Amino acid sequence: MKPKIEIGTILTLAIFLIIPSVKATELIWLSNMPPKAVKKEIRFYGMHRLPALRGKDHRIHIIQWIRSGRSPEFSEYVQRTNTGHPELFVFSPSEEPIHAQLLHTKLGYLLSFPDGEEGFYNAYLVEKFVHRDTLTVLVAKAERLSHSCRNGHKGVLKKVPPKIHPQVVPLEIVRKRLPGENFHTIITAGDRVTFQILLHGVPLSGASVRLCTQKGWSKQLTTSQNGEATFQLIQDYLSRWQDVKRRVFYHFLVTVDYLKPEEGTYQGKPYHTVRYLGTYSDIYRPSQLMYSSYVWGLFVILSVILIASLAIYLYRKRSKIEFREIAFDEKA
Amino acid sequence: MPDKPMVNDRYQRMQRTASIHLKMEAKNTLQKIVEEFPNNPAQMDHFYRKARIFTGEEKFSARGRHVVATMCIHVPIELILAAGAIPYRICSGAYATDQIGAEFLPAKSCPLVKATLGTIFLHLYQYDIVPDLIVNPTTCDQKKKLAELSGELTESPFYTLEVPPTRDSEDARIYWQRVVKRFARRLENLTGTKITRRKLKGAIRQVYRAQVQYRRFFNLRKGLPVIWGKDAILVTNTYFYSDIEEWTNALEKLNGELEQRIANTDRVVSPRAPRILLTGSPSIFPNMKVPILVEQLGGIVVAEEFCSSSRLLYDTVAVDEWFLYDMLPAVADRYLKPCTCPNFTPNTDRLRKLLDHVREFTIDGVIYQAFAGCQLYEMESRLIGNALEKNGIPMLYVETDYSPDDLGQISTRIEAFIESLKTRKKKKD
Amino acid sequence: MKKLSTFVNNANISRFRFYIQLLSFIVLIYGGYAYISIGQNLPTFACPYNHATAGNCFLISLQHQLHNSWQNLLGFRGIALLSAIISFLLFFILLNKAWCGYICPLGTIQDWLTSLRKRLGIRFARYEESTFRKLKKVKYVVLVWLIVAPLFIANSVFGLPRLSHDFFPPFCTICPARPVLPLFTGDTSQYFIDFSSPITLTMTALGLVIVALFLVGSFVKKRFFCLFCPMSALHYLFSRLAILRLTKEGEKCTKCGNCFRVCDVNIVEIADDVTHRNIVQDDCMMCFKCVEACPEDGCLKVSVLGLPIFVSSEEGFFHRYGPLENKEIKDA
Ligand code: SF4
Ligand code: SF4
Repeated sequence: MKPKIEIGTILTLAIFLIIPSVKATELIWLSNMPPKAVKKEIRFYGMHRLPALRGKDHRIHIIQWIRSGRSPEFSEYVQRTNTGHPELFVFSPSEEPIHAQLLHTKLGYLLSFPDGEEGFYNAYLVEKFVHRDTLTVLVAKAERLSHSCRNGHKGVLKKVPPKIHPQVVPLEIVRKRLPGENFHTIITAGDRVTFQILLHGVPLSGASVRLCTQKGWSKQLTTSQNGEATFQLIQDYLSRWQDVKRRVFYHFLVTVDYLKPEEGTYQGKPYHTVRYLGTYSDIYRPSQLMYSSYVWGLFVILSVILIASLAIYLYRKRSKIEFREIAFDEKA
Repeated sequence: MPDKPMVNDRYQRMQRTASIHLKMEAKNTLQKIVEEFPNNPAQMDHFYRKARIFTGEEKFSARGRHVVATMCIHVPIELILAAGAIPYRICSGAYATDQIGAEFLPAKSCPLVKATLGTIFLHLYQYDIVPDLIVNPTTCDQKKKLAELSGELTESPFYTLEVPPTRDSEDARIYWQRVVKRFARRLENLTGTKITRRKLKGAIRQVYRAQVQYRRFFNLRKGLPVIWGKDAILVTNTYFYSDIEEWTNALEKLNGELEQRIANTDRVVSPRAPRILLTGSPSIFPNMKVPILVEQLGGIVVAEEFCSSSRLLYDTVAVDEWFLYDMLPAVADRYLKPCTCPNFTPNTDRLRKLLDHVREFTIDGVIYQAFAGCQLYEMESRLIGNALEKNGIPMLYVETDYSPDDLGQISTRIEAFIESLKTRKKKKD
Repeated sequence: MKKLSTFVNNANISRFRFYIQLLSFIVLIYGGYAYISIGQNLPTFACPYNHATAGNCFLISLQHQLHNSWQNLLGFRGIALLSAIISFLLFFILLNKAWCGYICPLGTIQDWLTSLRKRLGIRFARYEESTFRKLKKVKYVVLVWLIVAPLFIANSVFGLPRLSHDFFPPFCTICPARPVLPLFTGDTSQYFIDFSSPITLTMTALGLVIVALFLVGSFVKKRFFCLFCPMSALHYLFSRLAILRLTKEGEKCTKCGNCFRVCDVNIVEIADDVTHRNIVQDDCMMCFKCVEACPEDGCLKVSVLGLPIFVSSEEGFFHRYGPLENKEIKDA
């Protein structure tokens, strides 16, 4: 059979080619979560289970999927960003810039950077483009903690606080650290997490910040005077104790949208407004309270203590009666 | 004296004659001990005086307390003291009572058992006292039967302390601990005093004090010969029936004197005299035949492994928690675990102890005394002899009894032995 | 010199031990507050579940190191494991099993429970020898479990399915130190029952049952837990390498059993074995109470590199137990 090019196919292709330019801006974010189809093939590294590849240089490369959407569960895995040529900035825990790449592989469209030391890696994907008089500045940020207890816990105190890079990224979503946070901290449902929004390094008040949990629960807040918004992460599904998947990492996504009137031209195109878009994703776990009980713990302890003490008491009482210990089985 | 079916003229005659014989015997032996040896320590006088209990010149006073007569070394003295009674060991070394006992026992019986039976029968306990309880540990066969026989012959109640036949196993220990606990109950009933924590602790400490002095005395003899063996034996013999505090104080003084002697190198005998270790059936005053002979013939007894001496007081009680629940088993253990009495089997520890003594006391030769009829010591002598021979230590096996008849014969043998030791020693030097 | 050694030999080592234990307890439990960090592979229960710990128990790092695939273990991770073992050994050979008797906080707690019991005048429990012989094997079983389980969790062995990760860390989940030690820094968060899977349910419940038994057991039985402690089993494997030693001169022993009587862990050999020089048994915690209780000069000996530092002596015995100056005896 001869291959035929049908009108339908052409139309579909045309729609695919045209729609992105017509569609509103894609909300791009960096995700830890592999697409279902390739999940089996991914290896995860370290305590915080970062998806990783072993590069040709035999080093571990952390990978992040480029996704677009507003909820972690339903966001698409895209093959292209808005412009197709975003800028990438990745900083190591010691704030050295490191080389990152965008890869099209059979695992998907990925941002990849080599892992080298313990601590938080800051990865940014930045895009700027003008569309209908508006300059869109999109910053997708990921803070990824690379840690394996086998590498030790040197310099935790120095490495835990957040780092910012205003000289290269205009918009920062900074997750304030939890009290006593260390390499082992994983946010759990119920924690109150504060985000600070910085525009060119200056706290940005009045921006609208949205947090969306994995299953789609979301909440929108406006940043305060010092650019902060605090969310309490909720457990977004109800279940019986034994159905809680306590080892699963869930994802949440934080987005910022801020319009600022500003005149200028970008790449020859004039604009009147700048739209700052920021995304930030991280992981959290179900709260221990969802699946564990202190009351039961106390009950078990106390009852065992009681029973054991009683048993010892009775045993001792019995052994005061002389010569009881030899017993023959009459029935045998 | 309680009324007994046997109390009749004959009994009284027997009692009178035996008493006279005993006094004579004691007097003779004492005379030998005191007068025939030079350079006796001044502080020995206390012990000589104590031995005069047998001659009637010294009295035993119970001061209104209960007297618990014991045999062997397995009776926990601490408990008796804690119950407020006076322990009093009645194992006898007297030929006078030996002859009495012979009437009731087979001819080949051990003289110690016969003498003790005679003592019980004639109430010739070192005078004037009648025990409120006689504790008889089930040690050797003859001692076991002794209780049954004497039950017929005396009014004093007997208490059988069941000594297990082995001592290494846990079962034996637990069994014995139980026996000791029951004994403690019996003592409480006897005296009407409860054995309390404080009392038992006090008793243990009282014995500690005695042990401190005894061990000091024991260790002193490892060096220069500053005291005759016959005196040393007498010291431990008097412990049988002395008030423990009084005895301890006297020994402390004696130790002081002996230490002074060592400082002055004031020996009782020349350093060339062969150093002898005595072991086997115990020498109990007035039966001091062998030690006296050895020392008269030029040897010096520097150590005895007897149940009338080192085994009596050497081993200590160790308590982890000073409560009755730990003290009672601790006291029980002290009388079982380290005891090298041959009624236990296996008894290899006795051999180890002897070898240790040989090293520690620089022993030249061992004299093994076995009473005719004392089967256990007779039997163990072979094992001991072989092992000593392997270690190059000469041993003389002496079979004897309480009668003076074999004096000539054993004195020849001991003399020859000592002579050979002397030549050996000279060769070594 | 002679004077010094007499002084030491007459000393009350148990009292000395009490203070050393107290000191190490404070350092190990609260040292973290003073930024003390002794090491990651300590041969004692310095439990990192206690947030102020001044070091790390070797068992937890061992479990983590072993939680690795075979390839990893043969490679870089294997070297890490080896170096962990070496650092454990370096600590261990200094003190031998005295880590148990003098340093271990869990052991110290047991000793405190014992003194509480003594205060109350309640008698202690003793095992029958046959029971003791049976029970003492448990610690080797636990040791094997804690070595094998991480391997089985990380790898499929002989094609068997992998062990559930819910078992991890296989010993810590049932170790009484994990719930008990954090109590001292006011942290009760370990007393829960985790209902999220049958395995976690069993393990956490078992853990709490063990805690309860630990409390009751060590109240009535001296050093109850030590009989089952895998650390003690591990120690014993290397005990011969250590420089601190406990030796016995059999010829001097009268088998009086004093040493056995005071031994908190019921070691019969200490009294009844007159042939072996090195008398340290697998349950021994090197408390040296036996040396204190032995009345024979030079029979039991504690030495460092062959140099005797504490030797049993008659004088010492009566000093500690006896009424030399009618002073109150070492009391209950
Ligand atoms: S305390 Fe000393 S003499 Fe007694 S059994 Fe123990 S090691 Fe031997
Ligand atoms: S054998 Fe000695 S050092 Fe070891 S635990 Fe027992 S008493 Fe302590």
